[in-house]
Amino acid sequence: MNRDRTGSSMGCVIGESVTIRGELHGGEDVVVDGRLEGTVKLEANHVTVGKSGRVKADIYGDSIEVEGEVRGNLHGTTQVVIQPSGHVKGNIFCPRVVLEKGCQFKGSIDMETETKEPARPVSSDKPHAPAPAEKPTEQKDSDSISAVTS
Amino acid sequence: MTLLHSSRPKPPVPPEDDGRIAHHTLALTELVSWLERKPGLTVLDLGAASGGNLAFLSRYTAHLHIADIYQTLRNRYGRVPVDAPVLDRCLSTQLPAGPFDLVLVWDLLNYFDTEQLEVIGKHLARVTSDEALVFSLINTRRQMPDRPLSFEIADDSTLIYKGSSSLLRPGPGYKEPQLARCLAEFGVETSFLLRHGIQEYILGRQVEVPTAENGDDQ
Repeated sequence: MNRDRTGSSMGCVIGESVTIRGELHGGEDVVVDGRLEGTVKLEANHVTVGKSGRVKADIYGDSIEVEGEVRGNLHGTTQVVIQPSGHVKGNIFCPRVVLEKGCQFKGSIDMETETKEPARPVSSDKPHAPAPAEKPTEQKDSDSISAVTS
Repeated sequence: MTLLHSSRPKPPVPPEDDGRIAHHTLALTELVSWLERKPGLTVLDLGAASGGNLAFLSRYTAHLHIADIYQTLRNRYGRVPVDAPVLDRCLSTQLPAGPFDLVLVWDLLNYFDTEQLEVIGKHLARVTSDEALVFSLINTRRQMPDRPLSFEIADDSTLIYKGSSSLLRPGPGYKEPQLARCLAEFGVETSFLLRHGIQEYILGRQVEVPTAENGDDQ
């Protein structure tokens, strides 16, 4: 089943009946409709987890779109979008994050892309370093529910 | 500690579609003013993920953690509330260490008894910075929705309330002294009683500064 979800050139589609374990890397857009466990490294490309996609992996992509289920961290260079059917448990590292109405998300959102560290694990105390310098922000006033910090 | 009660008359905000109702908020306006003075803070949201909230908060912070505690408890234990020790264990694993500067508790506290509130207070103290603020909505009426609402920030003076159930249950109607007792490391900075029966609280972390006298042996 080939689809062009990005409006650009056709990429690779991992079908619903396919299960992959390991590291996925390459140079074209990928749609995951099946199961994938491991790591997805497509830093220059668009990664889509389709509605039937079940991913247990950290995903690195230029842009990442989730319509299915992901357990893992999402590292996007330009944009991460969780669609209404999307279900993500993990941390998002990307300067632009969109949570569409109805999506399920649990985890941290880090829009300072230089920082690739996930939320620190649970431990005891604290003292808190002074707040970092202000991030430039931009906010659209439309119905769009996107977040932009660069 | 400042306690302000306001029943400032405002024109009612028309209800939106799909059960969403917009209400004016005074505490959020205060919080936004605080956020504008302290950019780069970290935020912990104990409610459900909301794109609108993310969009709004991203003006002030690049670090947001969404915990969705109520749904996590329901998924894990099938019921809420759970016993205090169970809640304690759950929060130990579900809340990252932070430290967070702002915690959005929304209406969650209404759904726990005082013993459980103490547990929540302990964990909030664990994961917050010394100058952290907590935003909480307490129902002052006898009845309240059967489960927590979801909230979306429309702007700095408007919150959209959305319920997932039309069922009602008795509300605990917590008053400030109870909150102060249960959330021992926080004090009420400001509160606003709104016309629809919700009391908005901004609680501030109260860290005891050791003095010379404290260190003396009596």
